[in-house]
Amino acid sequence: MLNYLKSEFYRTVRSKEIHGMTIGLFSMVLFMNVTLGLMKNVEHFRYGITSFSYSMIVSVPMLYCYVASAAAVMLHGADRRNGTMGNSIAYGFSRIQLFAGKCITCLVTCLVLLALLLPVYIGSAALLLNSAGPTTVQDMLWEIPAMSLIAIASQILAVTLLEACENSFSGILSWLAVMLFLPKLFLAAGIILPFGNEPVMAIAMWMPANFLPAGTRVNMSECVTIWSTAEGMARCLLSGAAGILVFGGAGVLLLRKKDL
Amino acid sequence: MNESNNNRVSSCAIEAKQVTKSYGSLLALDKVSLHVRTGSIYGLIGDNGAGKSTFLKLLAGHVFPTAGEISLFGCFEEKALRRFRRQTGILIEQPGFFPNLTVEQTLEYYRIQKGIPGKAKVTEMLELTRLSEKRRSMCKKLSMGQKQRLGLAIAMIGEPRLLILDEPINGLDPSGIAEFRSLLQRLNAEKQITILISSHILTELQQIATHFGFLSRGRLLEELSMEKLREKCADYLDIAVSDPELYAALLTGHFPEETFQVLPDGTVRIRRCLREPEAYSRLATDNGLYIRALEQHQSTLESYYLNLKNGGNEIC
Repeated sequence: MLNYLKSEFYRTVRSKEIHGMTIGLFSMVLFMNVTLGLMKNVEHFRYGITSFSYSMIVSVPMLYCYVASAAAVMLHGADRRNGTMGNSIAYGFSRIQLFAGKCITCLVTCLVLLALLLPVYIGSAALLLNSAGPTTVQDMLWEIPAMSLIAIASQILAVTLLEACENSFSGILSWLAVMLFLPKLFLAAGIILPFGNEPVMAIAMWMPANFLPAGTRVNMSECVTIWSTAEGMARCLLSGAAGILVFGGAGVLLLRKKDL
Repeated sequence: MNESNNNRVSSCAIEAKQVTKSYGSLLALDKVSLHVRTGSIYGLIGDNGAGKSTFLKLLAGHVFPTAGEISLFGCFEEKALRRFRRQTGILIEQPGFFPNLTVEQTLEYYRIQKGIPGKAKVTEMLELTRLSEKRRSMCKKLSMGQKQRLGLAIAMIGEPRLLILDEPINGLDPSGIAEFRSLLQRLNAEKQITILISSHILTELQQIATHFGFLSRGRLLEELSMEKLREKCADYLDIAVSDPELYAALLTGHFPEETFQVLPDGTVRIRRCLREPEAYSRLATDNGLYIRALEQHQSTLESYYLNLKNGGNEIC
């Protein structure tokens, strides 16, 4: 297992896809902050402030899930097609070891990416923009622990579906269905059902795609985040932990005896 | 039973007991029982869809059997199988690699994964498979033959005791095939590596295999050694003469060491001919017999397989 992890890290460091993703994220962050910085002195331009820059992340907490899952697709989306997974199984690794190894590789990759990107994001915003507005760096930093477990759960789901589905595209579609469409379906059912809708609504409101937008209001005049209250933070962490258990368990059950 | 005991006790590197594999309603393997002796080169022969790749995938752990058992070096239990797979090098269908890594990086990736200390092994594999010049090329840019060689290098990097190769000479040029053949023979002779190889190119298999297994429509038709195959496939001569009874008596009298039989149509079939065909024709003409036909048959693995597949079981 340790050898598998080492080999995957060796590959990740050399992965053109991850290099591309890192460069892309850095470019986007710097482009945004530099552009805002250049325009901050333009008359009537209100967005040249740190609050606007931070709100880009704070207002869309699901971004963590998207990036975490995109990393899983880039790292492991083609494992089955390339035949590399078959080689590892043929060498005696169990499917569960590979599943766990892939989840760990993706997680570590994203943590490193975050550790590199965050100082650049905050540093460039602080250096180039006027420090003003309702969204502060604390809001952005508290978002990380709040979203950590949810992002890990979504990444585990991505790894599970990439391995369980015949190709990456159907894996991505399935991920979108579980993470986005299913919660909206529950929410709609909770609203529409004439009776017995309360438990459905309760379940819907434990799904990140529903409770995150419902509890977050971030704009130029206010910054209300769900993780700013103890109850909201607890909901994020509990939902994430439940997701890890459910998706991790589903992964083990689905992949344990799956034919390649 | 511990590993060393297993190694001592088992003379079979691979054993399949009544293995069945179905994909939904499709029966890919039907109660296949097969034995690959340690130290042998086993040629697995069958048409497309016969179940060769499915059987090899079962050995590799890519798919699970619907029924029956598979053992590697005498171990049937799943965990032990995984342990013994570490002593197995496998190349099934397309070699597995990352298109955007170089050849050297790919081998380094597998070296790390297999826990092999020192980078010298990578260089050794590059030299063994003549890929040294391509070490910095992206895998996706390799030719078909080079990819096959890379696949072999990946399979070999763990110093396996058992090599499982599915159509390994696909895409190799004639000199590549000859090189590959001598490499396998060398590995088998020098390192006592057991090799299970499937191929459509039966003439190739006939040159290297010591044992054969014939699969057709998911069923194992027969297993036999090269000696047995030679015995069964010995060349023969069919001679049709005016008086087969007399000719048979002449054969017994003049060439007592020859084995022959008179077929129902009167043709005399001489197996493993010890003489040139002229000797047999002269025997007939010198004794006043008229020769209606004389045909020499060169038997091959291919003709044996085709005959077996079509229901024959005695002669090629």
